[in-house]
Amino acid sequence: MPFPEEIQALRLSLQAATLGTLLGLPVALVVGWLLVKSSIPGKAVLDTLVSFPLVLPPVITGYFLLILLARNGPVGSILYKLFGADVLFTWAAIGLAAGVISLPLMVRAIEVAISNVDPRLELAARSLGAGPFRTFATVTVPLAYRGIIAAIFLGFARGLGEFGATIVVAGNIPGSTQTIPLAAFTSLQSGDDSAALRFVGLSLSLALVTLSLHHLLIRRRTSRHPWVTY
Amino acid sequence: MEALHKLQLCDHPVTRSEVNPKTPTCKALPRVCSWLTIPALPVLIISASLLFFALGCSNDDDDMLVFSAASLRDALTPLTETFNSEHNKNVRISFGGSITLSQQLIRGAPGDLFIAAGKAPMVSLNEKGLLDPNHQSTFLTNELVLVVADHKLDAREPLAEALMNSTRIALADPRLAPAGQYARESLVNLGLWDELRSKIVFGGDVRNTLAYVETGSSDAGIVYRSDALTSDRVRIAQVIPQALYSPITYPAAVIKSSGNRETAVEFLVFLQQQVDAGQFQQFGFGIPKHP
Repeated sequence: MPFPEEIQALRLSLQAATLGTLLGLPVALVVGWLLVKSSIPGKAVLDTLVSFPLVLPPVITGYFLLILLARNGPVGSILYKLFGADVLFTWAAIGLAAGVISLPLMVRAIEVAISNVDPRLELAARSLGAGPFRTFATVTVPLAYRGIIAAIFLGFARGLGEFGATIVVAGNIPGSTQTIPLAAFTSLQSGDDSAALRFVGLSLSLALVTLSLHHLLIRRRTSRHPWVTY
Repeated sequence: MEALHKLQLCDHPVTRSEVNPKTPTCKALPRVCSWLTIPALPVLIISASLLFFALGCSNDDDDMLVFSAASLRDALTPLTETFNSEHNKNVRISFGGSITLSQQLIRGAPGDLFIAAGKAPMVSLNEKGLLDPNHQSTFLTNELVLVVADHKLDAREPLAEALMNSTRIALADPRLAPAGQYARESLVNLGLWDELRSKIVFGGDVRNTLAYVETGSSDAGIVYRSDALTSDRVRIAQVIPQALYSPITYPAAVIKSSGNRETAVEFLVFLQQQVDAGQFQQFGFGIPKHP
């Protein structure tokens, strides 16, 4: 197979971004709903906490993850007991880092989407006998699906491009943790211009595919019922 | 109000169930369906299994990961391919600044064999008890040279003047690679470190440093002789006198917690054989004089 390093970097980037998005989505849904629709105390604290990965330099977020995921760290020790393996310097660590970094973006997109759902429809569902979970699942989420899809793609794209946190928690090991941004950086640093150009081309193609898929999924079809937005 | 009647929460007409005429239900959708439509649930299942897959995968026995100083890239890569085909293994190499790599190993990176361009990173690993005491050796030496872009005129000036006349000098970062430490040492011993500080640009490892000179962003750089020989875009302007820096040696050691000990030891033996056979001299390395 030609270009084994590029294929490996692509595979790693896709795996890590997928894992990060999948892990972040349920958290973002819950947090988004809590911040918009619930009346729990300390919403400001939750909002601040969730926003940290957006405003901190990714390397600093990576440093926090490094401490948490170390074998004797709070999260790393639990994962070690569950799976018998270190998280750091594996693509699981990259996935976790991607998830954490893209979480604030996903939460924001989902917040916007959920707050745009007409509360009367949710109240109608509740008045017809649906519980809060069922209302959320069958009324809120389908009506907010465009925003949720936007959140997924935003999170995925951000996860694909993550560099600072990735290099801190996973290093830059070719074949196991060298994602596309890391591989491009290494090529640049070692003066390998042809390899760097290949990674530029790869990143552009990925960006095009991601954006096209997003566009495809949220385009508005002419609906039988123009007042229905799904 | 009319809109509310026309609103369809299901694909099909809503009817009242026979069981409870007051509660409308979707015709063909049982109640349990609503729980599965929570996107979180299947997503959680998929991501949990992905995580399990990511962490549960154990290393192949034939796999081995070498953490190696960046200066060994050109020499080690073809030799590793030879080893892989002859011994039917899959040895991979991660190149970088030796100090960067040693820090990764301290944090638990899955390296099986470590080859450093200086003693200090090896010593720091030894202090933490991470090295296998039975399988350590020092198998190469190197020299420091001043390189310039190939097209630059050969000015034949003494070292100090050549350095002072440069606009920008590339060094490896002394905090990340031994090459930088040796270079700084020689500049300090020349008494020029303070004066040249503002002209120095740091590379993450010695190959980055070389690339700075190759690409013209620095007009001079201090790298190993072996690095200078790999590139035809630079040439050696001066050899830095050995007296100005500590001897450059390449220790190699097996990591104690390695899951591929056997392969690592095999590889170490193979490397020593290659050194004895003179495979590394052509790349500009030297052999340590055994006492």
